[in-house]
Amino acid sequence: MRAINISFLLLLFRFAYPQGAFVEIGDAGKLKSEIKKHSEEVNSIKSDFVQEKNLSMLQEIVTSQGRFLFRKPGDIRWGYSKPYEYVIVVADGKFRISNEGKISEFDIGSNQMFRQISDMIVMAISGDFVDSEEFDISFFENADFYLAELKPHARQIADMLSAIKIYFDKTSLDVKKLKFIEPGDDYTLIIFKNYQKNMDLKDSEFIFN
Amino acid sequence: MELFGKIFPKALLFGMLLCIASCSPNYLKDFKLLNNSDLKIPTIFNHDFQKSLYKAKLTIRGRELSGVLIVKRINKSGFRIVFMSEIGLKYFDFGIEYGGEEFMARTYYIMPVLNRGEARDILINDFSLLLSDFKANRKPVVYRSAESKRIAVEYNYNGQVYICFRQSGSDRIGAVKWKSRAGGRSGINIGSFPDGIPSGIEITNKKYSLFLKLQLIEQ
Repeated sequence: MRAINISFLLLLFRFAYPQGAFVEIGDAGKLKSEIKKHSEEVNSIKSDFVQEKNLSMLQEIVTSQGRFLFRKPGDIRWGYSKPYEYVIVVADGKFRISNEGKISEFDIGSNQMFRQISDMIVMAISGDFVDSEEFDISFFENADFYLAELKPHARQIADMLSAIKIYFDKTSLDVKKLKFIEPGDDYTLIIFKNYQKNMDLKDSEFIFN
Repeated sequence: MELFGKIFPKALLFGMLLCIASCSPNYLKDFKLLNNSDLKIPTIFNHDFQKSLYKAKLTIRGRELSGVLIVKRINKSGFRIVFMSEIGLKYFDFGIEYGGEEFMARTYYIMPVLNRGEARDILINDFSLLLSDFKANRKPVVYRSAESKRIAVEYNYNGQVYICFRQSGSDRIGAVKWKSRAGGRSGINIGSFPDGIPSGIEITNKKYSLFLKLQLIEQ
């Protein structure tokens, strides 16, 4: 009878907290400190990524893939190789875009939207957001990940994104997934693969030849 | 004075006619009317078309947006057209539903920077034409060029007149020109048709400095 009761409780627990389900962390002070420390220790990142754009009403996922490079303080190379060739480089206060081989250049300050997107990507991937006052931040966890959910205050960002979800590996605190959720439930999920950090990234990686 | 009173209205009328004639495009300069033709206009997208993904570049008044554009059939008579940046930021999301001769368009989302002037209406009208199955009640007027042997089909759509030009040696449409449109005339050029889907589409609207180029990447 007792064994049946325990089984029943386990079953109930499984339904209440299904595998993979996230539970909010009440006091996230320790986790915030750990993420901040990890962010300070990471000077560069090199990772492949798969991007899934989920168009909920269309029941359609548009998948692309490429490679991401980051070097402190804010150099980025975000390159797509499939199904199209498209590379964004952010360095020296400039946005440079290579679109199917055609290169164009903008000042970061000249385009508010570009600057916001750039800042958000750097912030999310480097983990440098815990003290940000631009978002309401909540922390969750499951067996594999810590999850930080950021809800923007600024209306200009909130019109584009209702939330950003950042998934950290529980052991290494490396960012494994990013989810940009739009008003209306469409979202962009970026999954990082072959993630490497603190390697020497040359200047040539952040320029177009 | 009396002479002026007689000549002036005629001169004014002549001037107006000249102006209308010079402003109106003469797409059918070398074409002659084919009487009693029962030629139908072939659809640009196949009847069994489901979806296609295009690399897209939209230029409006010098401002360039690039990304991918997905066209998807959502039911027997309806389509969704979504244009988004390479990094996934949505620019616009239109729905087009056909019912008889008219179409219904719905804007699910449009980025504020695009929601100015006539850009939205131009894009919706041109996509509605591209995706149309041309089942109108009105009989098309058919022309043939004596020189190039090209066929042109003039049609009426939502009260506006457009002309489809067939590709040489094919029953596929190679270009579409609006003959009259309050929102500015667009010209649409269509590339080859691998598996019944256009491999490339170019929409040009000079009046609003709008140019959209699509290159098929997936279907």
